[in-house]
Amino acid sequence: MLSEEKLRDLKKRLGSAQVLSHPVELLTYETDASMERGRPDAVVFPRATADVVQIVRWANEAGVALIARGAGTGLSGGAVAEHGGVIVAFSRMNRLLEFDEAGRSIVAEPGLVNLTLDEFARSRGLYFPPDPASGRSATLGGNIAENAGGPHCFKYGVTTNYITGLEVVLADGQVVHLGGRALDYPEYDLVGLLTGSEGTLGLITAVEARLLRNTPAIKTMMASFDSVEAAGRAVSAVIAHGLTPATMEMMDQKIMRIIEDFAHAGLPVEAGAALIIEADGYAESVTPQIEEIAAILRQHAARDLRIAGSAEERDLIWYGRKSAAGAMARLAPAYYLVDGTTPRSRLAETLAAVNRLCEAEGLRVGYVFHAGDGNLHPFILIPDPTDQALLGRVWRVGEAFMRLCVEQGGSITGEHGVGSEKRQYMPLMYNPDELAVMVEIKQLFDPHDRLNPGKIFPGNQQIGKSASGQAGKAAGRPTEGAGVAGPAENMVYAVRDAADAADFIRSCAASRQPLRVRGGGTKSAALPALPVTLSTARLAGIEACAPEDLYVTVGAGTPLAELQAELARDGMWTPLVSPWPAATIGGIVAANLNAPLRMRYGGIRDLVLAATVVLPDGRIIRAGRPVVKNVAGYDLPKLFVGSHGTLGLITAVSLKLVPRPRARRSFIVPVETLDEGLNWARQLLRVCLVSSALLLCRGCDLAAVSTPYALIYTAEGMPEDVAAELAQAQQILRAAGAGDSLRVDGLAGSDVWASWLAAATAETVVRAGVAPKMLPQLATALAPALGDASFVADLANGQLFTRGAAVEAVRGPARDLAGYAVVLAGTAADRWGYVPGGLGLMRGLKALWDADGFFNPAAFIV
Amino acid sequence: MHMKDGVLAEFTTPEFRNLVAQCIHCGLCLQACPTYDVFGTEMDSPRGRIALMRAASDGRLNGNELHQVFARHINLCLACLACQTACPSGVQYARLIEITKIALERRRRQGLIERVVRWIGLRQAMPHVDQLKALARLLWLYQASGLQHLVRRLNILPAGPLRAAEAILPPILPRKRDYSRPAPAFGKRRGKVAFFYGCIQEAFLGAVNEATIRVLQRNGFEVHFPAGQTCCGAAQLHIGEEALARDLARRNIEAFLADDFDAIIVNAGGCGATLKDEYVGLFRDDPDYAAQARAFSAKVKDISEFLAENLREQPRGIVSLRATYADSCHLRHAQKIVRQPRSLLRLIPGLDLVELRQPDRCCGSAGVYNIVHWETADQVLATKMADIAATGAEVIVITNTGCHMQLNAGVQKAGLNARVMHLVELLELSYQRGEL
Ligand SMILES: Cc1cc2nc3c(=O)[nH]c(=O)nc-3n(C[C@H](O)[C@H](O)[C@H](O)COP(=O)(O)OP(=O)(O)OC[C@H]3O[C@@H](n4cnc5c(N)ncnc54)[C@H](O)[C@@H]3O)c2cc1C
Ligand code: SF4
Ligand code: SF4
Repeated sequence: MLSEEKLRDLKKRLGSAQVLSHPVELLTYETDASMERGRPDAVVFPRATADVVQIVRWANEAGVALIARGAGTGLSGGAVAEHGGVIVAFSRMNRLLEFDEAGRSIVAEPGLVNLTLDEFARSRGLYFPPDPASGRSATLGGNIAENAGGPHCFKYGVTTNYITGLEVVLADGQVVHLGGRALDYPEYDLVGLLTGSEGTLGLITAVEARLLRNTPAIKTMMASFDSVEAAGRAVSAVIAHGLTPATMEMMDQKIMRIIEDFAHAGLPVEAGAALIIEADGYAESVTPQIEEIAAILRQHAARDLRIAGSAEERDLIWYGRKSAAGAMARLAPAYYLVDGTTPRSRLAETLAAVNRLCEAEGLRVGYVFHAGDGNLHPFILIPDPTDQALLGRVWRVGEAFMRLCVEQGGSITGEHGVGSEKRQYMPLMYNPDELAVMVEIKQLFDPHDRLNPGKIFPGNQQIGKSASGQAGKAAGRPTEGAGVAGPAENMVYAVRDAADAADFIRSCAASRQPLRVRGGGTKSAALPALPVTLSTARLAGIEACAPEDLYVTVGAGTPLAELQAELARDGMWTPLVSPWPAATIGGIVAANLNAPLRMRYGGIRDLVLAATVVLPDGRIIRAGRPVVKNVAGYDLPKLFVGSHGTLGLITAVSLKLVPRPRARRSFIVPVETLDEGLNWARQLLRVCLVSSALLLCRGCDLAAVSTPYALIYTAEGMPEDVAAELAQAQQILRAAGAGDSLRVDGLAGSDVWASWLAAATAETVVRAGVAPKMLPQLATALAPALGDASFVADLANGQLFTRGAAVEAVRGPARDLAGYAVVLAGTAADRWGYVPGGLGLMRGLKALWDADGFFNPAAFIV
Repeated sequence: MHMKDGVLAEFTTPEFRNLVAQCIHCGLCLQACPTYDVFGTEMDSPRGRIALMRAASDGRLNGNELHQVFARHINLCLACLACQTACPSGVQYARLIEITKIALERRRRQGLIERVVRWIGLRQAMPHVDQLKALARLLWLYQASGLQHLVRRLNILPAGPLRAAEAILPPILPRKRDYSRPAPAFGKRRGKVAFFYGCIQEAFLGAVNEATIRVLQRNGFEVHFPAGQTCCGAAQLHIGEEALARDLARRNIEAFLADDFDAIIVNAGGCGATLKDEYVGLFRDDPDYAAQARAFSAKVKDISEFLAENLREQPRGIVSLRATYADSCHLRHAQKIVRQPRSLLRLIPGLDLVELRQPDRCCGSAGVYNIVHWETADQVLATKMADIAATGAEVIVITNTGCHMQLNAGVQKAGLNARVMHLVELLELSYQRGEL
């Protein structure tokens, strides 16, 4: 209980209108949307970051726990003050602070509601892709803390894919700015770590996010099938044909009957399952897309296929699906909505198993789920929430379902988070080392267990001052003179597998022998040489390729080119491009150098689903799982992307696959002056929807271009989309008075970028990053310094690559625009020239697992 | 859980418990709620209010808490029912809030002044249109004499309910209509309807009633004015005066069922919702009378609903104005009438109809809410006016009495150059211009 005195102190600091403490009023903060409950001692309503700092300072002095709350729509108890404490409610910090139409980004307070942002963006031709079903109430802070996703995530990903920067108040009251509006800052991806951390690592006070161009057209259809299995096979076939619908939602017969009884939405209740599929893109493309999908579905025994011809018909199709929760609520006063992910190809099997379980326990269940990503939601009815025996049966089925998901390589939660609801299941999914690593991170960020205590981690995991910060590490940390002999000097050791690597790394640690990690050697060659090098050359080859589930697991030492060649046989690829043919997957992930095509497919951080990592203390962990939707615990894979091999050795990586684009086409526009080029590029940015590059280059080796500059615009995907987009782009150029452009089929801007980088041999290559809308400004500011030097400006991603210019000349202007400039190749006194907002945390992380700094020293800022 | 003293019988009935249990506290209604928008606090949101009702039902609140904190948050509810539309689980918020208010009201000790004001307002004035009209004439004098101008200029009314009441006073036009005879249909007669002219509407916004009658006449309907009709009882019911409301309901049912009309026309969304949805419930314990109430309610039609189905004359006169339509909460959320007013407006040549960002957001009028809770209502109104201002509308189209007065005040406060008009006034304007 909070003493009167402490409460008075809080009110004095915040103003009493910002503090709620009447016991009756506090009743309304007992729950979120889950079944968890607990009464807070008070609720505070900060209006600005400074208020949050005040609150955290007060909490530290008073020794009180803080629980962040957005809209309280969470389904795992994340915002519930389980054991009392003070709720920090962000409902009054809900402003959109900046809207950048040209750069497609925003800055907002965490209490801004998902749909409010989305609607505003749509009124300006853009949108915010994460679309949880709770979007009309849920806040950005809650979306980020839970890494929310919705029906569109099959094609467009989840919240983490759109968050570029965060302002966070840490447990000690320090305010840090992580990431920002530029991409790929030279820092550990703490933004990625905070996303999905359920309010346990920091209080988010500002959000920087990306938006996409609103798709001009959408077409929706519904098809019914005899069984869930049949519908599942049809979904697989659609994916195998290289199609990527915007959504694929499935309902089984049980839920359709329940919905139909109350909503009368005309659902095919006689069928075993129904699919709602939506295709988006240009108007020219959605009809052929839907027709092709329809043909595939028919071949796979679809009956009763309905294609919406109007907005009303579309609404009607969705109406049934959206009435699911309401229909269930009418049947029973409560239901347990379980959330779990299996690899997509195992959906039907999992569902049949859950059905058997429910039958055995005498429970009524129905399903709606995102068939594209394997995220399954059994709704289990609870006719009498006070019947403890009944509840026991419900929880039993829930647990059995979790086990099934895990056994199949999935996750205990795809989108609702762990909170207090699922913490006891964490050990099902993670081994003790993996859990310990997460606990260590929590301790680093929040040593006194002040923020959302008790959440995520099972009860036996001690957090807080009393537990030793070293507890987890002791297990894996080698003692000097342990089994393995110290390595000889000047050796290159190619490890055979993760276990072998762990032994070797442990032995180096034991003898404090500095160790260099080498992949393809494209990068590590530039680092100071060390007597001992670990090579990933033997960690090569595909471990598992699941085109149907859209992922591949590959050894870290596999060269990208080899992987792509293998994948091409299945009509797939992983949308990565590297300038260096020898580059390995592990190296690419560690270095995080993104090609222009990230504007279309996301960056490396968005493609890495899971990774096996040997930590510098010798523990082997599997970070993440090879499913798109997994929010169980911290999103560890993010930490290793762009860490330049300083946090551990990546031995294997699971990457997201996408179907190879059916069409790829570029045009090249000759440009006389920089201003002209930037001006045209700015206008072209508005149409980017399926484009995979928008580059302005100088000194690129392009045949048939004799002007000093050239603009390159690439689009790829469905042929109709590519044609429509290029036509729009051409129209803009004509209106702007550009000369004739050159059309090149098959050419990708990313390849132009790659060959330009590969061609740099002796020169210094610099990568500068700023917010995309600032890039023209950066290019203009740099013009005098660059002189005749060659450069490539990646306009959509806010990246500018220079060859032969002095790094200092680039760095100054980039920093002035809140950006950075790093040296990619060549020598420089300071390769990074940047002090990340989270540098203290980065150092802390590094020290957690490599206190002596023997692992890959001098490879990165830390 | 220990029971505290003072748990009210109304909160422990199976009906109430079931109504409360229907809410799965998902929070999907939060953003629909105007008071959550103002305060950002759970207890001023639908979910929080229901949580409080649940606590009351579970006996977790003592008498003192019930009549103070609990009552405060219940009374701050506008009863706009936006949450009921937003709720995916079918929570019947209208019933919940009604039962809760009635339960609280039954036990409340009112101050002397409040009792006098209520006695005058709810028992003497509203049920007697003639007395209201007399008041209106007095107020007309207040306006016409320039006194209103002076009062507003000098800013002499202290901030509070009186000032709030003064602010919503619409410009009053003296008018005389003879209700003892039906108004004939123009052109070929298509049927006969009864007109429910209401109390405040009739006294203070007579022009709206005039326009309603004329539009019906133009479309071939003979308009009757059953004598003995009275105030609908909504205001009485919503502050818990159930017996009085039942009495008024009976008088109306008898007056309107005396003859066989094609429809009973109402032009105020709030009254319509009561006549349609609440009369039957009032006679829950009197099955015989409930049947009559059902027969009555089945005939009640909002003017826009009726016209959308029965329009014969196209409005032809050009009205080149930019307009926006502000949904009446009770028309939209209780009567579910959304499309009809808009499609009628789109028939008017020259009218440029711009949608609000939140057309269904309450304006803060809500019966007498804007007088009692003027501070909250002012904030709700300010949000509404900002939305309206952003459209650049010259006409704000409404379909309810309370909205009419509240938005009139809003236009004044915000200094907008816009007029508030009922849908039928705009239609009538177009008809008139079409005749020239
Ligand atoms: C009907 C319904 C449908 C849903 N559908 C989906 C769906 O389709 N997809 C999906 O992913 N989820 C879904 N959810 C779950 C939930 O809505 C999401 O997790 C949502 O993102 C939570 O947002 P919120 O603002 O309500 O957060 P809250 O519930 O208030 O909080 C959630 C977590 O975020 C933390 N948090 C909140 N704000 C901050 C901050 N500023 N800083 C740090 N931590 C913070 C809290 O401590 C808590 O741990 C659904 C929920 C409901 C009730
Ligand atoms: S009726 Fe209106 S004010 Fe009352 S809780 Fe519902 S939405 Fe809020
Ligand atoms: S009233 Fe409806 S929408 Fe609101 S919390 Fe309850 S169930 Fe959810």
